Amino acid sequence: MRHCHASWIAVAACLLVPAVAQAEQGSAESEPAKAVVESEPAKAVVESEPAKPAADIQPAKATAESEPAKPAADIQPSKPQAPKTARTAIDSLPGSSTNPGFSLSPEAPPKPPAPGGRAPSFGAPVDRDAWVFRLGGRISGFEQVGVGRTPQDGIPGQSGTILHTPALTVGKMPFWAGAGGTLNFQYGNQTIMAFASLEASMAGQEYDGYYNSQIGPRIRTAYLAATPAPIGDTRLRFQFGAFPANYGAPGQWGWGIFGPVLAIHGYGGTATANLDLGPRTQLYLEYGVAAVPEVDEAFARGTYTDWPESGLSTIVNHVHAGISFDNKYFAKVHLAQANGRDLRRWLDSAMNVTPQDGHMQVAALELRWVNDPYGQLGVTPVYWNFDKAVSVHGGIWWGLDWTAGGREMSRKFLGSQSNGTGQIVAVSAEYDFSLSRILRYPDAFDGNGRDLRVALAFLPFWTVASADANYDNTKGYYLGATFEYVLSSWLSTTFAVFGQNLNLAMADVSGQWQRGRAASHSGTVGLVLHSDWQSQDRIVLAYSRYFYTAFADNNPARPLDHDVFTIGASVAF
Amino acid sequence: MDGLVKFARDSLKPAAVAAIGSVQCSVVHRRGFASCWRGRLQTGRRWGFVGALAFGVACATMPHGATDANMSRARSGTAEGWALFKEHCARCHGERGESVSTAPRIMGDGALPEYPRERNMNADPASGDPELLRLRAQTRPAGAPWRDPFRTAQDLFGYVSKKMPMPAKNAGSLSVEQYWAIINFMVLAHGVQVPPEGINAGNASSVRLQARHP
Repeated sequence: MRHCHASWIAVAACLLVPAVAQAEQGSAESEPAKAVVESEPAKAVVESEPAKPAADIQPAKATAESEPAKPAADIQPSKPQAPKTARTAIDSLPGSSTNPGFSLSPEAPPKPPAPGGRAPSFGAPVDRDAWVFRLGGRISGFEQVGVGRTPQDGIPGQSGTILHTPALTVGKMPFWAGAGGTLNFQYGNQTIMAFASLEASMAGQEYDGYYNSQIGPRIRTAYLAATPAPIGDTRLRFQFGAFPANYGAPGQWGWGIFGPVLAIHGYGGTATANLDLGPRTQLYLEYGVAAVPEVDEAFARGTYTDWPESGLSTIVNHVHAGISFDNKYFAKVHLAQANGRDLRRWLDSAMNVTPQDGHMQVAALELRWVNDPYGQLGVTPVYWNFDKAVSVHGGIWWGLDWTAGGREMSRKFLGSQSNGTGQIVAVSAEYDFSLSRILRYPDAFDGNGRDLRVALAFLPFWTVASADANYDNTKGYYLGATFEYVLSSWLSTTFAVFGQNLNLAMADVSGQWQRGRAASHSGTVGLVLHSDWQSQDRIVLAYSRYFYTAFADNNPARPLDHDVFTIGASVAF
Repeated sequence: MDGLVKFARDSLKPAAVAAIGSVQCSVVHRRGFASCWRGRLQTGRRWGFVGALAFGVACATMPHGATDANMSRARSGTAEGWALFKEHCARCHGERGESVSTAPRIMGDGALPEYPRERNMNADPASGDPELLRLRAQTRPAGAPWRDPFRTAQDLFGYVSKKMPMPAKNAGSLSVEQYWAIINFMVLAHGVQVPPEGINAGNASSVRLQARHP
């Protein structure tokens, strides 16, 4: 047993190092090792000639372009010739246009199509010129039970523990509660592709989906994309239809715990160009327009039918430019302008309020550093300017902490008395790293083994101006940290911490505004079951403990839950 | 870092020209920005069009892929590798690795970068589904790029032998010797010096791919 130091990094390292050593020795007991023996490349390795000893290798000829040749003695003895896990990866990487098989490890070999040739199988191969139909997506079900407290002025005779499902909490939840799924349909070839996604998200009361059109099954994304062959150093891509476009997320592969600071969703299109400025430098340019059209409304829509129309039309123009160096350093500027048009004519007659048009501008600077093997760091300063932005409804899909549009951003961060006028500044930062990838360096750890996966995120924000005096010149923050210790190919333990601290103003019973800090912090421990080291499925059992300030847990008739139990499962295919 | 500095210097030139032009407009010619620049733009429109056309033609005709000398060296160095490359790789990547489709360039200047290019996440059908993205993120170590770095011929072999040739059903379908032959051809055509006995499992880790970019 190695000596373990007190610090958590050392502890984790001590836990991981034996696993590293075991993997390097090629444990025949583990599942991946079996697969290596069975797979084609591994057989070929066995059949190939043994590696030559270092002394037999001639030094390379040194040229002006190449680095000085190493003496033969410096050359390390050969390592296993084939990849350590020779199971065939099938283009399963994030961002790939192809998916691995249903619930399978991304390393699983591809499956042949079903007999008849009409329906390609999950994970079926793609010929570059072939027109192929693909089906993919996700199924998720997370149910939470919150252990509540007896409310004041409750039902007479009520006593004992109250359970809430979904849980009654404030603050970020470690899981997407409720049942839901997406079914993605894709047809096309490498040049042109049509895509549509059928989605359902039924948080809490599943039966809501049958009559609530906003949360029920819907097609929210459908588009046509064209990717012509490169023109010299320029690669182009065009996309038209209804689809989301996300920008400025500091997390891994452009995502992360707190998501993108700018997400646009509507009917429209984007044109993207990537230009090689040199062997190590690329330029990125993009322009897009998206619209969420509505119709004039002469009367207020009732909520009994849950009409999705809001009477607010929005059009968003957005432009982006970026540069990358060595594919390690990325800097991008994102600018968006959303104009909302208030078409609620009934406001005039019924409420004697004049409909008002609104505007919203977003400017973000996305900075990212991929510092392999030490992980990736993303930092995105962002600025929002709102002018009567309660009339900006759609178009801007996500902003600060998954908050939608000008109306929601105004309500949450500018105050209900602001009329959607103000300014917010935020800095979204995230650092992701894998401890095994660090410890195994310079060998590349691909995830097939014990690992500690860490994501740390921090998102401070400042409401630098607001027409609501209770929110003017206030600040707050979000924070998040997730740790997943992958113990084996089928089991992980997780620990997550989330927190938020926001300014909140409420009117008391006398009509006086009270201002305070609504803070919520939570810790979650969990067990995760999965079918392989890197499989895209998981079953989760978790317990969360929430802590609130009195201003957050402010309704004695409806006290928030402190203890939350979660069971859930997700599978991508 | 030198490259970054050089690029920053080159990038600042247009900004400097614009700034100088603005000063000329307002100070030297005593004219407003708008009228001054309007005149400049009218004059420059013709040249801008010609420049854009020339730029497009230059881009379209800019040579990519392996140089003649390196191709000749690679063909003679490993005939088997050349034959296998033509059969399995050239259809998408081009005989010089210059790319004849949406496949990346794999030989010559700018090819085989150590770290992979950033992917356009909005081109991913999963981009609107955070839960799906989270599940997909499990397929790689946290913070790692979407493929492992290409530092040596061994790294290239590791990737090619797992992922190639396309289509995916053929990935890993060649023998180890055939993969090494292809790697030898690619590395030679890329312009990297290889050991006299060729690249094999014993020395691949010592053949650096980025050595051609000092």
